[in-house]
Amino acid sequence: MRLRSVKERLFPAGLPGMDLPFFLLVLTLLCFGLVMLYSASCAVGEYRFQDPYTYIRPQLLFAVVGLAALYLASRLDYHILHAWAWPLFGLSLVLLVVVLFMPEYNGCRRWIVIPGLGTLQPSEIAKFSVIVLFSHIISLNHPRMKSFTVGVLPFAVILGSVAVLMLLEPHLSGTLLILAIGAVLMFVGGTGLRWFALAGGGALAALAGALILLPDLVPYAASRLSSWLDPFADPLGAGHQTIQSLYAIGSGGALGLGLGNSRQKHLYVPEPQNDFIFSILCEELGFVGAALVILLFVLLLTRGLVIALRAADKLGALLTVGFTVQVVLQAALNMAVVTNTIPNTGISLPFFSSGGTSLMMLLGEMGLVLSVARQGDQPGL
Amino acid sequence: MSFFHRDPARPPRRPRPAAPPPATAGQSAAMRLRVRLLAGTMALTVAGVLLARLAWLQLADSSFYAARAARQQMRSATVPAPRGDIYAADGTLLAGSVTCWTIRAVPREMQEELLDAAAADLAAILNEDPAAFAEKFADRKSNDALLARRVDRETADAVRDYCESTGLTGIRIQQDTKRLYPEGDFAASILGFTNVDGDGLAGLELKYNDTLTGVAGSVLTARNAWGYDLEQADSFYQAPVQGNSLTLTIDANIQHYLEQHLSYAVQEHNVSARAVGIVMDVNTGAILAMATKPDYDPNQPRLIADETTRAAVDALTGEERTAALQLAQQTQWRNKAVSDLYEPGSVFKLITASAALDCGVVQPLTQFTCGKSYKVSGIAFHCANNKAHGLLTVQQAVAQSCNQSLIQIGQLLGKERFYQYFEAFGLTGATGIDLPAEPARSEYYTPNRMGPVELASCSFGQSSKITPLQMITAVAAVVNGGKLMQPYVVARVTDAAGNTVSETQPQVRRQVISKQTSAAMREILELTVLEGGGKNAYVAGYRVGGKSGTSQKLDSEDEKARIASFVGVAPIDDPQIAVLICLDEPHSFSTAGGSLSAPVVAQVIEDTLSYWGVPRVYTQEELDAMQTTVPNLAGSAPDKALERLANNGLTGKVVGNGQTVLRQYPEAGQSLLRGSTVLLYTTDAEPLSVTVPSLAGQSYDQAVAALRAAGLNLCAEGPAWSAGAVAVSQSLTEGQSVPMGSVITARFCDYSAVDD
Repeated sequence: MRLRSVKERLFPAGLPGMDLPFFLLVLTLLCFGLVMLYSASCAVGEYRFQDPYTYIRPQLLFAVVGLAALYLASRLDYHILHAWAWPLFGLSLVLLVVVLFMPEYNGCRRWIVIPGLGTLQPSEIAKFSVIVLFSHIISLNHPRMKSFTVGVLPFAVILGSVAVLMLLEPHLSGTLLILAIGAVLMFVGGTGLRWFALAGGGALAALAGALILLPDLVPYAASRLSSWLDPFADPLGAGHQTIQSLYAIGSGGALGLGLGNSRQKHLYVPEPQNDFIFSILCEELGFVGAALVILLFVLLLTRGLVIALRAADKLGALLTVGFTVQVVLQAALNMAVVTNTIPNTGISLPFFSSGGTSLMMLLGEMGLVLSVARQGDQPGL
Repeated sequence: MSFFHRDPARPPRRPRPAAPPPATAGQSAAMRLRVRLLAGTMALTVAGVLLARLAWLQLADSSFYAARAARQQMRSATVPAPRGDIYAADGTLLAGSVTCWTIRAVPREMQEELLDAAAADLAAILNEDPAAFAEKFADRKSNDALLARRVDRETADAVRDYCESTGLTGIRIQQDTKRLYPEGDFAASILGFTNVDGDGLAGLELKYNDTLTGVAGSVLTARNAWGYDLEQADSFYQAPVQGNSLTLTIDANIQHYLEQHLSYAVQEHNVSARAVGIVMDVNTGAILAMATKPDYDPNQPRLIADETTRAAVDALTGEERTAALQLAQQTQWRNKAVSDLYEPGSVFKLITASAALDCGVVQPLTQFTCGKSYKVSGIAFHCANNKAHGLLTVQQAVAQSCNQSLIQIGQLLGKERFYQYFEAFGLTGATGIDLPAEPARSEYYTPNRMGPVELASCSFGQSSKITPLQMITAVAAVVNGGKLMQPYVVARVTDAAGNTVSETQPQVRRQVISKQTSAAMREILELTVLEGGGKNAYVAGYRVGGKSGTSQKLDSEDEKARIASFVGVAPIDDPQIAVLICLDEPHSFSTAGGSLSAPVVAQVIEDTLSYWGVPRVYTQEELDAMQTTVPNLAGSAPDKALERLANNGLTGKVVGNGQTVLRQYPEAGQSLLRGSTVLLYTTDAEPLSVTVPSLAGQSYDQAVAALRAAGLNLCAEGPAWSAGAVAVSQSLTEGQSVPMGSVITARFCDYSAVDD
């Protein structure tokens, strides 16, 4: 009986089709990302492991699994997330605590190593759970969002607890991303605009406070800041990554060196398969290729928000806004870092950067957006 | 407010309701507005900021980053340009450049575990010391260690194959270029040589270094951050441009004749201070050949070519050896023809006589008296061997090389005019030839420092010192109608594509003497060869003029040290070439230029004129001594054959009793002296053999008789007709067994010709 009900839930008769534009955008970005990942990572794979497929092989596997997850998620009734919201959030908090007891890597504790399976990044799960939880809460309390006790306080507590735990890793960029997504959901959910102004002032004060209370952060932040403003001041130290990334981007020119022809990927750009994959893309495909990627993400954003506008209910709309904004915001921040538009911080490029579990989660989230689209108003489809 | 969803009966969502909920069920207008706001703001911000930033980096400022990226990514290597070639006038390649490869190691990039094997194996391939390689590889931080310079293609390929098969990295094989002198020890003092960097150090290589040097190319190779070359990346190759090539006035054939005969003389007469030979086109000043012997092989300029000197140097050790080696190298590199001053001796009498005839103080037939001695300011001057010549015309005085007559001619000329002509003949300063290391000034007396004694000794060629090149250039002016020519070696400069860059035109520096004087001098020169001290320069069929010189080396510690020289000009009725031979310190039966140098001049003139196809014109005496051609007698009856031989001025000897001649010896077409014997074989008998007699010291008649008695035939070279001529060499050595009828070539010299 229970089995039957699950099957019924997932494959109900008469379910309308997916939102094709959104799906095609996801698929295009995924394929584009896989091609670029191979091009960017083959040299590093060859040099470090004598295997050019080191990075693309697991990524392909996770892409396939991820597409399956996307399909299943798109058929899932997203309303069951009402029931999962709190347990998921609880699990996230537990994982965020557990990760603090993991061994350090590059001075941070961001990954939980599961022997034999790989690594898990609790902040990714926290991001997902915050979106789900915020959508859940806002959809229940929407009319009263203008008030402080309903529209601000609970969210501030949730974000605060997550942020504190993530800053302990430390994982500044992830924290900022979650805060930004949270803020976007509150904004869409109807929180009073004056609270955002207050929060902005509060954030500045908190930043000042943090720097005073945790003096260890000062040199870290200062070095990040100075290497942003003048990366050439310390070309072999703090500015190294940025300079190499700029060399790659600038070398690309208008039309690029051609797919596969990057020279900066040959050990000059650090982590060309990961955070800095966009600089290799710029070098190989030039301004034209880079603009195409930006266009794809902007289209994903607008289509995602169109789906939100057409969602059947507030939960669907909020989930869609959350997931879409999360992907596009992360992509924008990554590209801004790589082009030295904002200070350097570790943030990966969705669909492109190497990382199987996050790709799988990403595709799952895109599946949920499609699930919302299936139940919403779909003129013309 | 609520944090939990308490509605167990969720709004039904399917089947798609018959009455569907409004499209925006549950969404408020405010929320929709905020979503739209969000979409617009975010899309514009993201796209705007990022596109602007990328446009700045990739479109506006691209070259800044691309250039800096290239600086770290690209490794630039120079590809040396090959030097221009040097060709002889006849097209023979004298100096060329070949591609070769230099092998270097980058120990930093070499795999630790392969080092030991690599040191041993690469040393074996490159023929170097394994221990030295191991030491170089041990410096693991090193970026550059030279393993072998300029190896050939096979060796470079072997190194490449080795690296590929073992996977060894960090070995660089760079293209390079190497100077090659295909003719080896040939024209070395003209060509010079280059150092390891390809810069000319001597000769034309030095003088024309800028012309011969090309423009180096470069290779840009992409490398990764660890410094390894990227295999798949394109290389940017800027091809080197070869330097300009030289075509010389030197003819390889004439140079060969000169070097061959000069080397023979150096060996035969034990010349200890090197010998010089120059062949000049008297009408243009073009140098046709120039040699100093012994010299060296420009492929190995530092190796002492002269075996005796090398052995002497090798016998020493330490600093002594180093000093001796350097001295020997400097000596063998020195182009004596251009760089060294010498006393021209009696050859200089041509200058004194030309000057006196040209300004009319004497006529060719003006007479002078030569006694036991001639006193000038109390100093007695003698002729060679204290000979008293008696009454002599100017012609005879030069031909007999009479010092006393020339002193008197010089006195008539006076020191002012003597100096004027000395300077006009270009003997005071450099000729301006396009070869390096020519002294700017020679040694001579200016009129204000010249007393009567100096004038006297200068008149017959002592007391002044000039270069052999100055001497032959002046002699060319004496015979060519009086024009002093600018000597030169490079006829043409061409670029890498073969286009002519520049061409040397013969240049007349000045008219020194009149055409009439020049004609009179030509007569004197011919007389000297026919009747005077130049008999050994005689070449049958060619009219040769010349003058010998035997000079004391005034600044030498060895009082007996002499320079035996001879200048020859041919054809003397229409001068084309002048040949000067100087043997510095010969140790032989004589030190006289007429005895030692004149035969060399004769051989060079004979070889050169016959190479040019100048027809021989014989005098009646020469015709009488002429040779005749052996007819083909095979198949004839023996008596018929004998008759035909008789018609040709030859005799025959029939061997065997057959009916027809089967073979003959010497064979048909061979040239034989009239009266020689041809053997006619009528059976398959073994050829008759005879033993070669010695002809040494015999006169022409004696030699003919001795050979005829032995059943052999003579071919004579040199002034065989001269009363004092004796055989000095023969083509087949004494005691050798040869077929009867063979021709023995003997060279005759007249050593009774006057000394000077």
